[in-house]
Amino acid sequence: MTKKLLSMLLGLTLAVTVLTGCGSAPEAGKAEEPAAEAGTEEASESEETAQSEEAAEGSKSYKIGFLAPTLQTEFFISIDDGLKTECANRGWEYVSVSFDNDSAKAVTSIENMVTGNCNVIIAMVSDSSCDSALADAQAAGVKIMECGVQTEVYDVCINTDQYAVGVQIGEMASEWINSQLGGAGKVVVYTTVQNQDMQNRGQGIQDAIAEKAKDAEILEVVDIGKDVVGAGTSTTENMLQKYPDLNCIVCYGDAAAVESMEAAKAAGVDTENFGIFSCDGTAQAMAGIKAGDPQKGTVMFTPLAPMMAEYAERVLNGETFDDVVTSETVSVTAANIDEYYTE
Amino acid sequence: MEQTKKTWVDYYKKFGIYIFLAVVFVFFAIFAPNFLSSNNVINILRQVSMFGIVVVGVSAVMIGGGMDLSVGGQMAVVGMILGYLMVNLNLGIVPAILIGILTGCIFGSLNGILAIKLHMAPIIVTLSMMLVLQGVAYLITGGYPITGMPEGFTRIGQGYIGIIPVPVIIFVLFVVFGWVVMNKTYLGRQIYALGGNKEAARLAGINVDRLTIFIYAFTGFAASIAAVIMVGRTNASQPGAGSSYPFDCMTAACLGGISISGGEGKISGVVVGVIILGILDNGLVLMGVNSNFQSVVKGLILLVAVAIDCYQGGKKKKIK
Amino acid sequence: MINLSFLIRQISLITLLTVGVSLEMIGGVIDLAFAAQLSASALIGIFLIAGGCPVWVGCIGILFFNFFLGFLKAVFLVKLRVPSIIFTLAMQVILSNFLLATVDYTGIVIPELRESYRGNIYIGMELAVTVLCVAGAFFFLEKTYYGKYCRMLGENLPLARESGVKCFGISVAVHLFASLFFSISAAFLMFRTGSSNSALGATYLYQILTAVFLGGVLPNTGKGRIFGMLSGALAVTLAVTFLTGSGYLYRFENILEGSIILVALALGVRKKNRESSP
Repeated sequence: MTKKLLSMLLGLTLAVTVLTGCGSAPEAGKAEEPAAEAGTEEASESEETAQSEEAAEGSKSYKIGFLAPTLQTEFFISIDDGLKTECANRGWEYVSVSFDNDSAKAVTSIENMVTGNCNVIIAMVSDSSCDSALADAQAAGVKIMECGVQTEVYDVCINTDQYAVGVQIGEMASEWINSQLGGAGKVVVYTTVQNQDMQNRGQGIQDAIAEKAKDAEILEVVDIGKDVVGAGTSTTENMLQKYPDLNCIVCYGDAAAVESMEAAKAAGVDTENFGIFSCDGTAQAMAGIKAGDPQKGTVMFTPLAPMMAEYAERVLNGETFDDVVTSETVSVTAANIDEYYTE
Repeated sequence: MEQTKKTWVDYYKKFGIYIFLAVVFVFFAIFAPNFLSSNNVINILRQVSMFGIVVVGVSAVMIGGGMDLSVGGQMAVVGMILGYLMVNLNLGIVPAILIGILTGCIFGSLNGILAIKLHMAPIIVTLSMMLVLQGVAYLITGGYPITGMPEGFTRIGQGYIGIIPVPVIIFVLFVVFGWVVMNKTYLGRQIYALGGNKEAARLAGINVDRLTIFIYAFTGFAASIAAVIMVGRTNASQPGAGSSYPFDCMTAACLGGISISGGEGKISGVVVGVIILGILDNGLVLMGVNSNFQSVVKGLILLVAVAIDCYQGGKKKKIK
Repeated sequence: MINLSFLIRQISLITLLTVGVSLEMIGGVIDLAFAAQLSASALIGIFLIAGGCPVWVGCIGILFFNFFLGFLKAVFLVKLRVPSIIFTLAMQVILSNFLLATVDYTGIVIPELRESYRGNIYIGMELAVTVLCVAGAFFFLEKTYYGKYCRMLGENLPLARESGVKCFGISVAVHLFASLFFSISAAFLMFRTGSSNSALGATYLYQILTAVFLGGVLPNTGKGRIFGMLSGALAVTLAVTFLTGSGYLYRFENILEGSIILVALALGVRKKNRESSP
């Protein structure tokens, strides 16, 4: 019985894989031809326009693959949803995979996305361990877009200097400490050493506070660790216990920050003179800023998904990019919350 | 007549957990800043309350000879359902909580039914259920947390009655309930009998299948209560909630003297185990120790506790 | 062609891991720690290589570390009689968190290692090694007395003990042999990514367990055939490839894995009931 089930399952998976393999390959080929033709010098402009229109129609059948380190936090889920919408608007196919910080899975996922006939892979990798797989993908004709980390293999790279983001968070906090608390800030910094970027961000936070809020004291830098739900809550309760005069928490990300906000509220802190600052611009954090909760500021990235889709289209149309494209960030506080958040 | 010699293991079984509690408490009182204050003690109790409720349920299952690793997944799904009902469907707090608890009981019963039908290994059955439930929790909103619970709900997780946090009161009530059931009722006796020797229990007239389903349903009930408190505490339903619970619950239960093979262990011991883990977590954070190192310590504790339990089990068999 | 090479590489790795875990399962051990073992041993290999040692020394380091862990498993599971799932769960938690706590997290990346490993010749080599290992496992399981007693251990350890079988020795042999498979897998992963961190290979845990159950190797039965293991590994590889390419993997992976294990268990119980009924 088990053997029969097994053989059936095998047969089914094999059949489906073969069918998927045969699926979109010819269309992708068709898309590349008109694009190549449009690139060569043609006699008249009208002919060029006609052919680039053909290319545009052929390009409707592109397939985009998104590789994220995790699809379990709001930040990445919103990029995933955004990309899904962008692709649907353009009539493209879209798949997404999370590699859960496991580079072995990242390599396998890249290979499988190539097998699945993706035309562009948007890879938010953590380091250069996947470069060989990305190079193999490029050799197979797939365009690689890196976002968040710049390695040596990419056709276009969208990046933010994480250290600069950290500095921005720290500056936002310092401004508040100086204006609201007269500089007498007692700060705890939540960071994570999960990858180099976050380490850079954490360092940026500390450096900015040290520079802009000279009278403030950084009491402790806590590695809040993996995104375990409830870690922010219990760590904040413990920090409030350890440092009774704590009045500012600066986090590397909204996930821990919003938990801290709830814990601080529950502990009955003076919400006006207690500040929590972080990054990501999630809905819960923005709601807190609007409501006058301890959450006083967050750094929001300009929506990455439309930017990624736009550059994917451009790179598929043959554009090359020598420089890294920078994504903008904006500090959101009570002063400008209404521009970015409506209930 | 033979007088059985009391070995160090017997003394450990009786007093070890309390000695360990005292040692840990004194250690952190000396080395962790601000550890010894009424606020901190209340902190510790509040932090362990959700976890402790689930452990009471898991202990009942373990005493009955089974194991439940799916509690984390149950918490996640019940939490998401709670949030969905209250925020997306605007259902009232009380109906939402009742539906959540019912869902938890259903999941628990499902575990029990599977454990009976696939009696090969309840631990693997519940491990698989854990995977399935984790997946389901994500499907509910596509991974997004649900935030903005109705006014009044957060009092369950963040409120106080007097100086005692509400979660702690619920925890204490639960523990008392569990203690009374396991020690003062026929049901408790039957659970011990089931864990001690299933066949003998069946021959003694106990409906082992129904009892098994009931115990697992009780764990589901415990997980759903813990989910209600967690959502109240964080004001959000998270699909990833409870991911560390299977391991932590097993550690607390084994530390508290629950035997892996079933039929042995006390609720009082389990409570002490829970408190020890709570002190460890709290004290290590106060000392600034890396959170990963805390997990290493817990892993070592589980190993040692289970090794001693199994070593003694082996010795008992040899004497026979 | 390039797609075929991807497939071959993935199948090689998943087959190695499936056979290793299956061997342990046949011997009565449900191993939840092998994924953490992969990352820990690969990290040791990378440390050694990054510290200036030649590559073969790194590989030896991986081997010895896995052998040591395999030996520990035998000690705890047979001598101290700790239930396997709890021991391996504890070991997994200890290993993965110990790494996170002590290693300056980002892990180490050695680009030259990764670059020099590219090319079809290495894919062919991986396949050859895998075929050799599977043949070795077949020989071990079916043609040696270790394999025979391994099945006895898996089906009923107390009875095996009483019948005079050298349980500890057999267990050590099985675990060391399985550790060989884990070492080779860890080395492959290390070469492919030129790196290691505490999460390397972590996602294989439930995939491989699914492959093992799908291949008909169930706990406490002592039963399992190489053909079943290969089928399970192939099925899981193909399923993962298909699901990734169609975008359903992250949403349904957990549910599928849990469901498949439950179904496999159910089928196993039915088979057992049919066999034991008069």
